[in-house]
Amino acid sequence: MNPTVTDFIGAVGRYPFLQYALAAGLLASVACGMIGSYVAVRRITYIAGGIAHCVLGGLGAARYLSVVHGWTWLHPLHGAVVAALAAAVIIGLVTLRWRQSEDTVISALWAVGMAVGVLFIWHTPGYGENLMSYLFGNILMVSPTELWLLLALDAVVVACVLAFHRQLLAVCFDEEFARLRGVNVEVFYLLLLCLTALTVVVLVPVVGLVMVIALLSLPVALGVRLAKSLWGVMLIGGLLSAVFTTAGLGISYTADLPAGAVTIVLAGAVYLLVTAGAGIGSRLRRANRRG
Amino acid sequence: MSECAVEFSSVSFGYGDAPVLIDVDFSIRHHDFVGIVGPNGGGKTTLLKLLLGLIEPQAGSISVLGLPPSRARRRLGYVPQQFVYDVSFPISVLDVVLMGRLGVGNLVGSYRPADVEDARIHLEQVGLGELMHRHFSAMSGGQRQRALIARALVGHPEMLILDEPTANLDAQAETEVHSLLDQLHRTLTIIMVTHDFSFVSRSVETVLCVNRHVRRHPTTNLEEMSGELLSSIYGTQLRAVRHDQSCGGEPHGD
Repeated sequence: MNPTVTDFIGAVGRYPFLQYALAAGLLASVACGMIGSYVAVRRITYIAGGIAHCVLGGLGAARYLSVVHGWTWLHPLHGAVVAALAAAVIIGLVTLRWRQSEDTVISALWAVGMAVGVLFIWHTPGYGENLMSYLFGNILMVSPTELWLLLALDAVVVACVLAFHRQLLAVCFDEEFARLRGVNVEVFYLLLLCLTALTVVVLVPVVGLVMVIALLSLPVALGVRLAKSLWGVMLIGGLLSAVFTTAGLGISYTADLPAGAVTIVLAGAVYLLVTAGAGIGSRLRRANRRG
Repeated sequence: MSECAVEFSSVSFGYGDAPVLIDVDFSIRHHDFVGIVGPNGGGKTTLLKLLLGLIEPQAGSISVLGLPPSRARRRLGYVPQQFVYDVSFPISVLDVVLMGRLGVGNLVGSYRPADVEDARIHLEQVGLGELMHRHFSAMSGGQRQRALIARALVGHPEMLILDEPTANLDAQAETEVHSLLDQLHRTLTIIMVTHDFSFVSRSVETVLCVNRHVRRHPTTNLEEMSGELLSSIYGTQLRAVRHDQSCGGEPHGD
């Protein structure tokens, strides 16, 4: 017989690896709700996708340096942070200076970042299975060291949002007006992309870099339907991603399935149901008015 | 305080090889109410962008409130044209208006209670006090336009610059925006791009005809030149030909 929900709750109490996994999901949800909201309203999900795939280059390079060159202090997530920030700055500068080549540059970084990662992983002896956990997440393998790093990245994201929400909101809503009010639009746009990069890194251990954009966009998309301020979207988006990651972990534990994939399927299913439900609801209301 | 609110001297600007404005000379005094008219593509929006310092002139010089435009910016209130906003953008009317307080006070942190109070006062002034917590996209076109005017006012500008504030509004909303502008003119210099001839003849004191060149008309003798003004607003071929023959900043109606 499969284990039940009560078994899962009991197991969380017993096994530290489940506690770490739960904590990683909750930490990711904080950054995900906050930054996902800006990404949604500024419509830069594609940029977030590009940054996410570039991360593989950083993960692979850091792993390679650690295994082959003995830089044992170097964690793959350190490489991920560097690669994500570099990708954010490059994409940011290109979109600010040469807007017409934006698509090409994002697509190129997207693929080249992955290719570099694959090459490094190919040359790193004995760790081929890591590729899968980078791509699709492995929340059950999160270590205390990684949790500290996720906590630090979360702290940076939260601090920046609390400090600069006014400017970030203005840059997303009406860039020209923000500029006329003396806001350095370029700097805050780059800051937003760098915060997106850090959020992507926080999400990688949870759902893997391939599925990052789903968790970054689906919970806040539901938030946008319900909230009338960006703070509201952040709150709803954060709570929903916490629900999705926790439920995903629970279901994956009880049904013995990969957690990242379960989380994403869950988020996608809820989004689809809500969207379809809202569509049918508005049709019924219109029909009632006519009848 | 400088003598003129705005002064353009021999200003030219173009995108690539295409000249948009050629040798523009004019000045605007303080507390004037200026209507900028001219055919589409004639350079009205470019003129405003130069005025706001969003683009630099390729020749000539511009002074706004005695300063280069980019330094005078924060003393100007700007209401953009046919504001393209995202209908799903989750933002309240109050949050939109508060953006007008950016650049005042601290760089870090949220708006101060004084900012919120200021926004509330200006929302009441434009008749939206009751609706300040509503979703911005739930407003009608006229209400949104008034909210954007409140956003421009909340920075306490010395000059209000509007780009076609009544485009796409119904007659009722248009009247509301016009009477609001009449009221604001008591304390502010107003410069607005408009296609609205009846409002130009009733409220505006100075007309700038913009079609590559800029010509200034006082509206006191509007009857004599209303034919010319009309053709300038609607941009006939005749008008374009005449512009090529004469230009300059002197009010030629005097």
